Formats: sequence, structure tokens, C-alpha cells
Amino acid sequence: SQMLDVLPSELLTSILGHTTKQDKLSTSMVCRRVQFVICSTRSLKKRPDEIIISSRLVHPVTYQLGRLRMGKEKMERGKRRLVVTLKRNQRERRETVIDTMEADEIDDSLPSTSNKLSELEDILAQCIHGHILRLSAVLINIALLDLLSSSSTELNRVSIVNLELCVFADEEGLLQSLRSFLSKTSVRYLILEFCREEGEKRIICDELFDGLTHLQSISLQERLPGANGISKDLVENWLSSASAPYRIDFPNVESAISLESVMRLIEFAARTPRPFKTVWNLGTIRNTDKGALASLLLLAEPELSIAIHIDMVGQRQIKITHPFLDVVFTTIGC
Amino acid sequence: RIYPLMRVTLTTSDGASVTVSRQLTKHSGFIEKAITDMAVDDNAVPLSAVAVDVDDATLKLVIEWLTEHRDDALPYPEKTDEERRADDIPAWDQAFVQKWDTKEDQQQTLYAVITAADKLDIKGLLDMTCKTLANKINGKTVEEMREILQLECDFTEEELAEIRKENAWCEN
Repeated sequence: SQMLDVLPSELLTSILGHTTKQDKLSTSMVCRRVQFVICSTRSLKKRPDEIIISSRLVHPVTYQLGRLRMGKEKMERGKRRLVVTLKRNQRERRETVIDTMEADEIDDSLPSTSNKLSELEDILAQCIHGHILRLSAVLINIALLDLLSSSSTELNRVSIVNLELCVFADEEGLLQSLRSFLSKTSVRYLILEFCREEGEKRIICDELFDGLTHLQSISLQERLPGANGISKDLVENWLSSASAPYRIDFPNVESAISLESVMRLIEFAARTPRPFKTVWNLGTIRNTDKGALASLLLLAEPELSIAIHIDMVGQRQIKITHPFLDVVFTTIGC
Repeated sequence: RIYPLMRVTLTTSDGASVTVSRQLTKHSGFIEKAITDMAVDDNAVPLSAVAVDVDDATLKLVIEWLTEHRDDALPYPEKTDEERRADDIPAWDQAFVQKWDTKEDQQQTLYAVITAADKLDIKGLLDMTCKTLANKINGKTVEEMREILQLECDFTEEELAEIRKENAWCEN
């Protein structure tokens, strides 16, 4: 018998615990037993660039029944698959279907991860996060966020968080869970794209962005423009802490950001040279008053140019340009 | 509380008996638990024998190590995965292990001491011997590792190719 056979697996684990990652990779090719120990203890973790947790609708298939083509058709009921995809080097991808929801379980675009969290946890435990984490068309609830926050997978490596076509569960404390999750990442690029308007006001608010000091770019797509809790305080907080993101893309967002905040932003950007140009698309700013607009137009700042275009329905589209700054927005209620 | 004068008799798996100071056995979680389980009065001398599933030759090596480390602080510090390193073995321990290299069955001895340290729950010795074995394979090729660990490859070429593919996901 081979000498290594005398050592129980726990001791092999202890021994391998003192080896470097590269040596663990090599030892996994020595023999089946060593490989089993390494795999079972998850000493080697996968390092994808991107982890995607998504749900995909498997389109219903129509087929005919009977030889005579009597016109009887049966529609196979739709399925939705919950898939975890690991992407590496932009080319390689590995997909694991962790759940398949049958027709009756599918509530349109509301796939649930709650039943299969242990499978998801298992996959995450075998990985170390890459720089991108994408949740696509899944129900985001506290259980999912807590799982992502508690997984010991170096969440702080994540710099791009993309929540696309997501639905937020109607749960008390969801915003706090989302903030807690985001604060454990090093999110620089945050993409929030809503699938449904429910929950927008609860989730999209000033508080969501508090303390996310790494934020450099925010892209936000509202399903129901105006149903959010973004106010002028958001911009004021960023400016007072000198942590304004370089890029904001709120194309169809209607918010209560004030023109005074825009003026403060212009002054901040013009007087605080930063490595990158500040480019903000603020969507629509509601409840602006003429006095504030006049003050903005009279702002005396070298190299500042402000263009106004009034569209067919009387909305003012304003474009502000400066060597350090580009801001566009539309005003209503003016 | 430790009583240096109190002695413990250990009976080995091959029938030998060794009497050692309690000052040495304090490092062994197994022996300490055995003594506690026997509900021995702290002042009782001598103590009943404790049977250990270790052969006489290996136990002598363990006792040699314990004698050198009798004054080590307890409990032995637990280390996280990040704190684990294999290059901090004290000089005496290195020399202690080097002695086995003269033996033909050095690897067998190392495995025996690792197993003994595990059975007797001597964390310091277990840690040191695991590091020693890890050092032997660190930086080696797969073939060299097989030679050191005296293992034969039981993978097919296809399986090895699959493992290489899997491992690529674990690299930076």
C-alpha cells in the first residue's frame, strides 16, 4: 500500500493547508485521493472575472399532435431557469442551472431564488468573486442579499455591480440589506435597471448611495419615471464629501434634484480638477422654478456654456458644458 | 494546574510502557482528557497507565519533541488559512526532523509522527510535521511530488486534461 494511505483525509487537509496555491494546483494532479481532498475542502477556488446570477425564460414550444394534423395543438408550458454563470477571459463561460421553475411557479418576471439558495451558496463557496457581479432578471430579496454579503468569497473584489431587469421583493429592511451588500463590495460602477415599478421609491433613494465611497459611475433605469426618492440631498452629500461620481446616467429618471444643486456641482467641478471629466445625465428635474433657472443661466464661470432647447411640449432641455464637466437634464414645472 | 512531579505511564500499541512527566503530557489533549476522564485526584501519585495507539519507536520521538517543547505556551495558537506558512519551523525542530533523513523509511517515520501527533492531539508537533511535509512538496513539479509522496498516478490522460482545464479557472 502507498504510504500516504496511512494519513486520514483531515491530516492531508492540514498538510495541504501549508502549501501555496500554485502547489495546490499541482498536487491536485498527483493522484485521485489528493485531488479528492483538495476538491472536498475547496482549497482551490475558481476565480472567474464575472459571476452572473440570472433567470432565463425557456420559450414555450408549440407542436402538433396526431398524424392527421387535425389542428390539435398543445402548448408546452413555459419554464424559467435560474442559472449561475461564471465567465472568464471574456470567452470561457460555465453555466450551472440551479433551478427550473415550471409554469405555475412562474409569476411572469418574478423568478425566486429563495428555494435554491443552498445550491447558490454552494457554487459561491467554490468561487472567489471577480470584478463583476451581475444579477439579471431575478427577484432580489433579503435572503439573496444576505447570502451574497455573508459569502466568504472576497466580495470586496467586486467593482461592477449590475442589477439588470431586477425585481425587488416587498420586504421590510430590503434597502438596508442592499446597502449592506453594496458596502461590502468596492463598487465603482453601479447599474440599476428595474423590471417593474414596484419598489422603486423604496430602493432608489438618497440613502441607497450613502457611504459608497468608491462609486464612480451610476446608471439608473426607472420603469415608472418619478417613482423614486432621489432628492437634492444626494448631490449635496456627494459635493460636501467631494465624492461625486464621474458619470451619472439617469436617462429616464425624474427626480427632485434641484437646480441649486446643479449650480453647486458646476462650481465644484470647475474649481476641483479631477482625473476624469464629470459627465452627468440627470434625466428630468421636476418642480424647478424660474428664479433658479435664471440664476443658473447667469452663473459666471469661465469657459462655461449653457444651451437651452425648448421642445414641442414646453420642456426645457438644458446642456451645460465646461472643460471639466458635461451635464444634461430636462426641467418640468418651470 | 500542572504538577511537574506527577508522572504518567503511557502504554504503547506494541506493549511497551513509558513513564513521562505530566509537564510533557500537558501538551497532549488526548492524554490530558484521558487523565480527566479517569477523575484522578490532582495530588494522586502514581497515576494509572494511559493507553495510546502509537508504537514505541514513534512515541519515543514524540517524547523527545515534547521534552524540548515542555515550556511552550499553551494553548497552541490557532491560525487562519492566511496565517499558515511553512517556512517558520524552529531550528531545533528542523534538526529533529533532519535526523530521520538518515533512515531509509524517513517518509514512513514522518507519516507515523504526524499520525501520532494527531492521535495524541499535540497541536505544535502536528503543525510542525505538516509544515515539514508541505515544505517537501512546495515548488515541486507534479512528477517530483509523486516521487516524494511515493504515489502512483491513477489518472487517465483525459482526466488529467480535465483537471488542467478545471485548474485554469483557479488561476489568477
